[in-house]
Amino acid sequence: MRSRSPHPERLSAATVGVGVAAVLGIAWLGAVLGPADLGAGEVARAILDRLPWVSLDSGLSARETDILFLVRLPRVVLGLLVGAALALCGAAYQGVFRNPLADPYLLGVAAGAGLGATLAVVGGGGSTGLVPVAAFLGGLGAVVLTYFLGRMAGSASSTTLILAGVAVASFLTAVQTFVQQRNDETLRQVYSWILGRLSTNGWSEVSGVLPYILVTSVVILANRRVLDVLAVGDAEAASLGVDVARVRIIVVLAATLGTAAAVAVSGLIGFVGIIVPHAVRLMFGFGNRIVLPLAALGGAVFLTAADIVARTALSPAELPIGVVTAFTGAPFFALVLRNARVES
Amino acid sequence: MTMLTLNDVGVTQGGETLVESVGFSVEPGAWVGIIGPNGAGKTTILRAIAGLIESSGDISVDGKRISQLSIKERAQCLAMVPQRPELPAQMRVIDYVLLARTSHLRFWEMEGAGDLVAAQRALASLGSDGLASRRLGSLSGGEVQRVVLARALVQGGPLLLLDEPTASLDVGQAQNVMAMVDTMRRTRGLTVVSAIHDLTLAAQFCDRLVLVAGGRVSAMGEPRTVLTESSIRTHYGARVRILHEENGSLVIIPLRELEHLPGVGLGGLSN
Repeated sequence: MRSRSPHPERLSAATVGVGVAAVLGIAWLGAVLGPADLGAGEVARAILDRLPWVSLDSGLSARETDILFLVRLPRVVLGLLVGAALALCGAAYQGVFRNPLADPYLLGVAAGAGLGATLAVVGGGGSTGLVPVAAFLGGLGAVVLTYFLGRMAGSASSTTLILAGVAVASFLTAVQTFVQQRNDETLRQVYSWILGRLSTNGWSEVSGVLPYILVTSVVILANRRVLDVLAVGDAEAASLGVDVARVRIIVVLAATLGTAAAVAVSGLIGFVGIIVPHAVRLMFGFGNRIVLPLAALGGAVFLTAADIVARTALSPAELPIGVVTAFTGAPFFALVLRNARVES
Repeated sequence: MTMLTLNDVGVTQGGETLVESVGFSVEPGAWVGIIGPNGAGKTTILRAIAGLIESSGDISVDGKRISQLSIKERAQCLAMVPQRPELPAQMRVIDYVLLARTSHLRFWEMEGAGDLVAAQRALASLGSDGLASRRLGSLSGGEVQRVVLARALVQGGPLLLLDEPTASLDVGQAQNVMAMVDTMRRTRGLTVVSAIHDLTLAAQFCDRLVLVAGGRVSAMGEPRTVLTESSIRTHYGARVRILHEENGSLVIIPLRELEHLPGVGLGGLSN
């Protein structure tokens, strides 16, 4: 029995293997499903054909190949990246602040990005071209503001930082509401961005966020053991040899960068950053070295699945993905909670 | 050479002086107890030694100024067991003990087989190898104290700081923990400094005591010179009787001050 083993609690290769298989499976499903009917086998062959030293005839027409490689796959990959980033960053925030209710938007990223996006829509006369850049800068700016406000209070403790985040978020949301109310003709664009959506124009969104999300993932995953040390509190972690303030700032910066990049291309998609890490904890274990990698894999699967629902449920109309994540995430989480209670 | 030297150490927080002009030194392998009434500054002194709070004056551990060591170097030369350790309820004992290897690893490195062996040995040396797979939330008070001591052992430094190691334990568990610390320091050559409330245990286990009152050292030396009925009355406001055992140890017995109770004289209960 696993719980009697004297070995430390670690992530098994089998679990990671299942997670990776789930990611590949959902990606393949996402590429197959949609308004244009692409065959499951054809999609698999077309993708394999692109691998080096593999040459297969997929049987897809040129138009179908374009749909697959320029419409479906970019969106699927964007979903995987954004989902992985939001869940990983949420788990990182929960670890670094030792607060199970922390989500990636804790320190004001959402409010800052919301304000940035609103200003871009209003300033651009309703065009949404500048929205990603403005949202990215707004989100980063808000967290920097939160950090300096927390430092002004004279302490780098997590409570001060979270309180500063609440203050900054309220302030920026107030400004955003004011700007939006003065320009109500742009309400629709801003609202649709706030609800969150994965929309792609070829591979540009993917290539735009990929570097940020890679850096974020490497930094957070490299700190997974140290984040476990923080679980015993700042003072004890320091006496064990961890530079707590430095770890906190590095992880928060990395998580903020990843979140801001995700928000810039997908708007404010709620629930992923909080539901997925908790589901992983309840199902697989509590240590950060288990939760962080599995949250990334789980987030990728969950958001891609939600996107499949969003674009097929009322096809050809599309549901906002944020609505789907909340609508499916809440009952799913209730189920996980119930099972966890039965087991314990 | 001394293991620990404090020279004119002071701690001020928010304009309030918590500790001032504290100086004493500890020989390698000794066990020094810091005693004194609540709020005297015992924990503050330990936290200053551990480098967890800013202090003035000099503190040297093993010949090195503590203020000049990096956080990691400090963790390699001293381990601190707080009075109320944070215990993440879901963490397994073995993982908790392994946290102490942090100062020997780079931040991205994971613990290796050698670290695991060290953790298992530390648990075994405290008779706690059976706890390795348990979750911290399921441990009793005595078990927690042993696991926390095992973590301090695994940290591997020569100096062990204990803040009230027996605070929440019953009399049997308290004796047991003190005996374990004593064994640890003898078998591993550790130097121990502990803040301690129970004066009898302090007298029985510590080589020397430092009596702190109002943030200053008021007396230090062997237990029998520091712990007198009058010094305890002065600093704790308590009336005690001190028994000298045949083996040289002391027993401190608090006496009930019956004259404090209204209407009850010393013979008043016989009616």
